[in-house]
Amino acid sequence: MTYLIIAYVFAVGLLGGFLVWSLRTLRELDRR
Amino acid sequence: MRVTRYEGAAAGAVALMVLAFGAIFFHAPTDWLQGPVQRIFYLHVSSAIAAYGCFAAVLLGGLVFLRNESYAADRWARAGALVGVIFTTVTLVMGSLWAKKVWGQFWVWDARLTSTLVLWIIYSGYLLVRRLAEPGRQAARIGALVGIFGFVDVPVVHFSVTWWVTQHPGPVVVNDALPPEMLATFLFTMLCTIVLAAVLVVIRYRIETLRDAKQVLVEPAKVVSAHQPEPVR
Repeated sequence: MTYLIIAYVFAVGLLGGFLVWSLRTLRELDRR
Repeated sequence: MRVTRYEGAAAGAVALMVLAFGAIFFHAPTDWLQGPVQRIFYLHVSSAIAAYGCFAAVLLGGLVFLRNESYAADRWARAGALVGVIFTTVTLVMGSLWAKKVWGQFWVWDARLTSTLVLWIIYSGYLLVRRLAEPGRQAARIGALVGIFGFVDVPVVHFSVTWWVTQHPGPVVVNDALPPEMLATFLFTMLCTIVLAAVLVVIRYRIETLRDAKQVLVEPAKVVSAHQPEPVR
């Protein structure tokens, strides 16, 4: 169960973090 | 604060992924042999397929750039490479955690795992080249060649489990090895993951477009300096 939780926490963190970072970058570039 | 269409699309993709996670943890039955850890399968395989799609975008973008010198195609390639590397990272890490539980070790150097690691290295190299090289025609041409030749590894990864004897299991979906609830959960997760990957590629394409436009505005002097005046005699 521990490996399952670590795997999904990692996936959500990486994909979610990448999505949020991309949207923030886009918003900053659009503002300029 | 106004929500852009990119943020709307991202919210839609996240909502789909939440539904997919609901299916993975509450709809799919627990595997009788491996137990709950088998649920890693759904996102592990879906991420690999999404990465294949992203690398196909790099291949097509490279081919179109070499044929037409289309910088839009080059931007699609750059966007696909970054998103593809992210999904390959998810595949590798989730797979390693699953392997630790069922094989007793995080990594074995079999054909599937090794060729997937090579795929990750090829496209990380692509991103490194694009990051370090002076932006322009030459960098785009080198990137296109790396992207086109790098794609050769995608069928190697995919068919490695049938071409060689591997510790990694062979195909289960095409061999009807999944019960209906597991198959439905997998297909739905794959669809949601592909939508998320497509939304990410579109967002990254927009970022690359704005960066390219900024590059042209900020560095016009480089274009001018390319035409050296004739020395006065």
